[in-house]
Amino acid sequence: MTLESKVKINENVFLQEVDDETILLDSETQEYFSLNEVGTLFYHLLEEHQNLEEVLSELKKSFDVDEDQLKSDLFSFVKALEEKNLLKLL
Amino acid sequence: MQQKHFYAYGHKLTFSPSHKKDEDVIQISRCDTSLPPTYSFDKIFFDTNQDREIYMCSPHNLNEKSSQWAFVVKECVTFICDTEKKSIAYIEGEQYSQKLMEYWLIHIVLPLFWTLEGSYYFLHTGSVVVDGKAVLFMGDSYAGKSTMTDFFLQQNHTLLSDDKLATFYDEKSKSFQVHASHPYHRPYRAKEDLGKKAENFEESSFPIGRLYWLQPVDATQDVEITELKGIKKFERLRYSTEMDISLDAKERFRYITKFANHEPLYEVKVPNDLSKLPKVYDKIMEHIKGENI
Repeated sequence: MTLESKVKINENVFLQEVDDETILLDSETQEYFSLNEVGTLFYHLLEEHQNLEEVLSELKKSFDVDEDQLKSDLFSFVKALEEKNLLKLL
Repeated sequence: MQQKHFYAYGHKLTFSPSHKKDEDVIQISRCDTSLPPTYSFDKIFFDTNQDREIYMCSPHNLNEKSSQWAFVVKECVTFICDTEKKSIAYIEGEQYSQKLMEYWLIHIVLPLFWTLEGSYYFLHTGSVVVDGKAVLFMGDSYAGKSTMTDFFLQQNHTLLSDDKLATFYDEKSKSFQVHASHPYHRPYRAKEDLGKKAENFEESSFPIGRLYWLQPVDATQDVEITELKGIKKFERLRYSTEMDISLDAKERFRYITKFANHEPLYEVKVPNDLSKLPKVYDKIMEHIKGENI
């Protein structure tokens, strides 16, 4: 995975909020996941931008943390979603 | 002359050929032919802990919207359904009996029919009326849903459901409502048995008053009621979803999350001791009255 990598959220994955918590449903496996506030922001940015470099650039506007740390967190998030088959790396 | 059966939502299963047909009535009739070979395109097998093999099939891909499908209870009865024409034709199998046909019709086929039609979202719950509103009891298997429902019935509350409850969003009142959907009560476990017909059964729609998740605890513990939120609430509502079909998954997910955002869900710790049921009842009633549903 590099910053040039593009990602695509699986079309069977849906997102809804319940009581300020975000819930992701994989309608194919019927598995569901809860995202915290940061995860929800990551997810929405991945949906909107698809290119990890653009996502990182947006994240830098929201978080006053070291860029390497932010990049590492983003990659971990993408990897976790990929392992759960919620998105694809293109 | 072939006898015709009609089914109105209030579960008035009548057998009169003179029943007036209208748009809201599903016409149920006996069919003398066998299941057409075209109904082999797709099969979805059900696991309902029954001894019989049961499955759904269709002349079309069941993952795509189709009004035609069949529900097969092997060697017993096959239902050929058309949600557009509002018709269900049943074919008698070797082990057919009217009692078994009605069991499968009411227990699975009709809830499936209305789910595929998009009319209702079914929850597996016991439900009674308290002060003009529906109170729902959800929980794991053996959590005591039927026992709790039975206890409320003994206190003269009206039954809405002891199994599957039809829920829907009423655009007019902007609220979620339930429709009485199962006129039978079965405070025991038995296969292919609808239970006994409830005497005080209500056939109309009711707004939702309270949702309770029954959590059995050790007999020595106190009855406690706490609110569940977020993923915990969603998990329990999803667990309680009946007829969980993959069709319209996005729409159904939207429905249940909207439901979750509208309706608070409370966990009731129920001591594992039947002699404490009156105490649980009082606590629930106090909870309902205290917050003026």
